[in-house]
Amino acid sequence: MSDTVIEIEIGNTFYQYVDAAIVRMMALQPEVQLTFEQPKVSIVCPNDEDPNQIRSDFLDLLYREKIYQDTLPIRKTIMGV
Amino acid sequence: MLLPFKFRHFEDRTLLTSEAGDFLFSDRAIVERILNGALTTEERSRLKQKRIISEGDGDWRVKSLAVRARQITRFAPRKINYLILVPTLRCNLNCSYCQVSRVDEDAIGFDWTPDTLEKLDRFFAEHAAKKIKIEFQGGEISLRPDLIRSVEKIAERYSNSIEIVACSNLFHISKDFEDLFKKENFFISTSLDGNDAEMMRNRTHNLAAAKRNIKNIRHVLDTYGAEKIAFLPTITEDQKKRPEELIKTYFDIGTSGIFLRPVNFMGFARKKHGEAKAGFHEWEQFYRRSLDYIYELNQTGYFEEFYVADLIRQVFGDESSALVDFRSPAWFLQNYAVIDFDGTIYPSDEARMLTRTRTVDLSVGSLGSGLDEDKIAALNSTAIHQINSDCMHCAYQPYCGIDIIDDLSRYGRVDLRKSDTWFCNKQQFLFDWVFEKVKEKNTKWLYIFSKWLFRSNNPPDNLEVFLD
Repeated sequence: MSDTVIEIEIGNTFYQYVDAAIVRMMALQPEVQLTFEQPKVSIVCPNDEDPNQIRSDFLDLLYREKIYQDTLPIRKTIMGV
Repeated sequence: MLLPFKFRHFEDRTLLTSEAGDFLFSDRAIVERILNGALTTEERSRLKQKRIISEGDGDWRVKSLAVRARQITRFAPRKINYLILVPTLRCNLNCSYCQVSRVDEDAIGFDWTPDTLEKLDRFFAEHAAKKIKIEFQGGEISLRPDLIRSVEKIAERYSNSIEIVACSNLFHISKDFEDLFKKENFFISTSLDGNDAEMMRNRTHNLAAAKRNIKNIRHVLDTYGAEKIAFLPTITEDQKKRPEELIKTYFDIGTSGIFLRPVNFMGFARKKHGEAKAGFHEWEQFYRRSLDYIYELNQTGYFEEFYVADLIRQVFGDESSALVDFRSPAWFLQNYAVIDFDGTIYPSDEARMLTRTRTVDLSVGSLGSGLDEDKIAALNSTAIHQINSDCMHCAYQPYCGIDIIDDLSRYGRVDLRKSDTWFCNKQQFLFDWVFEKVKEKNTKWLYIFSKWLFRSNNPPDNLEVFLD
């Protein structure tokens, strides 16, 4: 059974968050393999995975990483640390 | 300016939650629009209102988040206001799911001594809050009502508001024990697993004894009223197949709700109910079926499932839950402590069970040697989900808690991915279940939520608090 390859084009304002999102995706879904070569993230996943779901999962992780990193200073202010 | 927020998809809709627990539903592309600066004016205004974006550092929204965060995370001085005591390990029943190591009724050396009470006095002097709730567990405390009186005398020296709860099986009610029932600050918590056949199966092992047990429960209810006594079921795998029966027993007896807690995978329960290790799916089926039946009961009266009602009061009301399941940080030995029959101190009753079954030693001191502050600090370092790499991205984090004792009891460690744990699955299922009703604007269910929120069979008709 061959694998499916999914390519997702990433906007340049998201580049700095991609590595962290890839690490998290590999931790949560170890069955997929990810590489990033600007401007695309390539995801190799088993054939039985739903490509749309994988794409959505990765983008969610990317968005969460951006929210986390961009709001870290304000989070520190809020928490008083 | 972006504020810390989280999101979760519900098919065609996305739930957004702020750090403070404000929430709203929008279409699935909302997150992309927020992060790409493509919001409409109307969306910007709505997101500001929900504290998901702000005007800048000086914005009142940022300040209000800071105030809330500091209220939640501040390390207040230790004041124990909920104390669980186990003055005897002896018990007159041998229940199939007994969560603690219990000993026979006539065993020697398993009761508190005058020396223990002296040391307890010092513990109260150092740690007791002015307003305190003391819960007696066991063993079976009705075997030693004298110790309840002795403890109350000690508490009166240091606290000016004392509530006492005796967790008793009510299998035998002596005159000495019943005399306590007349006190206004004295309450009973007892187990009720269903009808007499169920009580026989789980607890008494013979029908006559089960009938006597239920007769005693009815005696307390009839003589002292429903407010004197609370009931707690322990639901075995077998009972999960027919939840209506158990719930109806509670409804018929006149209680206002039920706490559908599963047999926890710890203590002696582990030896006899190994099936509790099974996956979460079965519990979810049971719970859904139970809630459907509770929905029916609420068409004619007030009846709540305590856990989900507590969750609703936490999310939509101003109440802070007493359950660790909805608290983070869940600092240990901050306002809650358990003291065992031998004077050993634990951060929770579950921690006591895990220690007694030699799974992991979670004792944090003793009445003789005092508290082990290093160990408490080590436990505390893991008892905060705000910095957990899974929880910090979860839409339910503002409402949820952290239960490392549950993780330890099931997996022997606390560093698992939270989404792989029973605790997280249970919480996510319940939050999803509640927010589904909000998303659908299911007014029939939202009205029941309102009943639970206001603890009233006739709450305000306005359901605005549940709408985004």
